[in-house]
Amino acid sequence: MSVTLVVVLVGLVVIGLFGVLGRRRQRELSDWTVGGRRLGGATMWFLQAGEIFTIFTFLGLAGLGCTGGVAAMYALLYIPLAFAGLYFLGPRLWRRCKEEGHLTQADFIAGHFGSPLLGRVVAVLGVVFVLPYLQLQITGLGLAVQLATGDRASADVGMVIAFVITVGFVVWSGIRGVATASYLKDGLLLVVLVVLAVVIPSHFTGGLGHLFSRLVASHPAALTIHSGPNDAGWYATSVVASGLGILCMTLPHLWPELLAARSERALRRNYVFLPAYCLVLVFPVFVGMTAIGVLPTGSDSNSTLLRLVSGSLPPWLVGLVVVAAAATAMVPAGGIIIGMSTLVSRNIARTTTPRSQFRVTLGAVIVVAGLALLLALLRPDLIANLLLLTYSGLDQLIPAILLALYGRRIVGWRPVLAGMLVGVGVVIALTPPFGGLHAGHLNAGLLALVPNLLVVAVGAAIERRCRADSPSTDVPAERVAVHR
Amino acid sequence: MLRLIPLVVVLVALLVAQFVPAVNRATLWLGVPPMVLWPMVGVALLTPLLALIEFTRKGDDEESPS
Repeated sequence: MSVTLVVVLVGLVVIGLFGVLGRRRQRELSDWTVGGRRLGGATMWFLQAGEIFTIFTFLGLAGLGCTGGVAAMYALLYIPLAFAGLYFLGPRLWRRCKEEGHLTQADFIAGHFGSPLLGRVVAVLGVVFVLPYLQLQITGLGLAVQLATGDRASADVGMVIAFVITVGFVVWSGIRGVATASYLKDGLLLVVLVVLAVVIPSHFTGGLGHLFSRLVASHPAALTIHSGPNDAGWYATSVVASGLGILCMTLPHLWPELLAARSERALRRNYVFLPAYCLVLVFPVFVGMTAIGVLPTGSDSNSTLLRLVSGSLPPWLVGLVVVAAAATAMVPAGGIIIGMSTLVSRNIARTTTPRSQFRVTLGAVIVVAGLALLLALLRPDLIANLLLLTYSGLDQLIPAILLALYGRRIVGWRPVLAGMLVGVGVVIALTPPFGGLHAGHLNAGLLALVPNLLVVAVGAAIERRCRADSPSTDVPAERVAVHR
Repeated sequence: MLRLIPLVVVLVALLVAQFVPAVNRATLWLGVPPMVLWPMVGVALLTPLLALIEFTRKGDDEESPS
């Protein structure tokens, strides 16, 4: 067993221990899912900051920095821009959910529109679109272990151990376990990223200054947004679509973290400081840009960071980098699993008592995590394409969430559901290999919002017309509790 | 409302950078490509601008454990 693998395995166990230590008394589902809505500023910070760095931002951004140059900076834009917007929207959402007892995105939408059916559809879309995202964390973790050890079997062992540990601390500690594991993850990640951003450019190009001078002379296109797959249209629409997705909380696993806040003030102050933390996203981009002209053309972009690391650091330090990469998979995966399993128990499965709902939630943790792990091990390509739909598909929930956040029910649930389904259909039609329509390099989710909104608007107009003709069919003004 | 204006200016500046020829070009500003420096400076400004709004607001939501 290599030094790297030993360091990785020990690191995985330590991450799990941090998660286990987060446990507090759990009397009901809300204690497990949203920490009883009692998390203070520091814990919230680590919880929400932890979601910034997934395995994609660690390995994928470096890859995009290598293939697209400065186009990778789009990630530095959409996340802080969304946080700036959430400074205003987040507390409003938190207050509404606290007053009405919501624990999930689907609770909120179903409650506002008074439609359990709409909530169920939102929950199903959330689970279907986020499952590939969960699998991505597992596959990325396996890739990190494989690149560091050069052994496919070690990668499979690493994936299984990491996800057994993750499921263990999630079931045991709930969201508080994710938060305490985030303490370790963010601390480790900051150190590793700063070291990598200094050491790798120094090792391969003589430092960051030399790196950029070299790129100006030899690869000037890497320093501009230019024609090609990552052109200005891709860049602008990706920033807007991804930013709107986070701002409007379309990803269901972001909800427990927001709802766990102790107060609106804790939430607001978190959003004040989170944009500054996002600046560390430039480090993997710098590492990726170092690979331009260093790694052979056509190399797997996702392996960029770890190839450079393996070529410049001693084995134990490579192991530490892989542990940091594993943490960026395990901690967000914990949050994703909590979000998905709560959707299943609150909005999809039919449970009769709070106790059975809690039991279904814990069962769903094992089912969704097991399914994602099995697919990652046996058919890693099966749902890889579905990942293309994750962000664009979930963007179609934006009208429903914004209308619900507005407060007054100005549209009924039928136009919202119709618009959502039309939007998802258009996303599928615009996304190869599912559909044959061509959207160029523009973001399919953003384009699909246009017919989505049109359907909602037309449906709302028809509703008003019907209400004018028949006052007795007026939409009730009050929101309805549709969950236990 | 006046406190929001600098924040809006920065948000717009961040969103249009790739369409500004002086920014989207292969050169270096202070040794860094403009398309890297521009977003970094803009994002770095967000926290002080949000802090200005937060710490000058007249809030009524005292921290209270539920």
